[in-house]
Amino acid sequence: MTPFDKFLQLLVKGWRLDIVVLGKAGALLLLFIYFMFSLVVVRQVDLMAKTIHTQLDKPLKIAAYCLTILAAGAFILGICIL
Amino acid sequence: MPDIFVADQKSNKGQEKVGLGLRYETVAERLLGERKPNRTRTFNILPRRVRFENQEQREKIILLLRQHWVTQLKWMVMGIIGIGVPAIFIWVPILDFLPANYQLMALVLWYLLLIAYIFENFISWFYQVFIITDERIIDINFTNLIYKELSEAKIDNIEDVTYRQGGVMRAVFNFGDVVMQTAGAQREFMIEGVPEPNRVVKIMNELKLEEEHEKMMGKVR
Repeated sequence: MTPFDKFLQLLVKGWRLDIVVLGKAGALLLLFIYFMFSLVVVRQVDLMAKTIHTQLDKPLKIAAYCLTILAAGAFILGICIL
Repeated sequence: MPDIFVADQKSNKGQEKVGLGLRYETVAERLLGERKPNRTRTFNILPRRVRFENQEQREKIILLLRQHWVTQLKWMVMGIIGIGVPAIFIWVPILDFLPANYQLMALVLWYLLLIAYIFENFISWFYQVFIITDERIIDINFTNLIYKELSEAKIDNIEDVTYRQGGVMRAVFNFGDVVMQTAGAQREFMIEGVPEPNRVVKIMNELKLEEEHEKMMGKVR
């Protein structure tokens, strides 16, 4: 086996995609996107509350922050258990 | 020399308001008795502790309208069904090929998406309002997460107010669309699926009359 053949074999073996790794990466990517989305929701609730002040502004802002905390928690859980 | 006519010496304080056409009950005063406290009402008369962007110091919110809750049934039902969806996997083991930790993550992801779906729909409904003040009408729309549209028209620019109410659901739950034709840049304002559209039209007509009266009395702000 020539050194070039060895190099080719290393490339093929080294880059073999494992379905489990792919699943883990996909799930973590989804959770990360969700986390970013939750930050947009916080910003959006803030913008809406500035446009019209109602009695429910505070509970809704708290709910939006809770969603962000939940998203961050799920992302950390994903890193830990996957 | 005896006076032929002696003017009444009583105070004129009260008379200032009672004179011909000077004293009248404003729409806001008339509606005061119909006010009901509820934070998520769809038909809010003189809502308490509600203010909007660009509201003037003396401007009063007469009506705050949201779409009738029946128009929101779709996402409410979807949300309730969504809560029970993971239970299906107990009887139909579609996800059994995945390791246990992946199954748990799938469950977490599902509920996160469901929470986001319900929350997004709720805030879109809650903040998408139509406001009628004693001076103007304001339509606030949030089409998506980062798009806001705020259009307004002076009450004296409103030429025609009509409402339509068709269909079984609309007749049963008493909601419909109110259309306002204006002379301003935006020709038409439409409030879709609003509760008690007949009352909205009545209040709008009263406000128009009040505005005309104020114009005649030279009280225009």
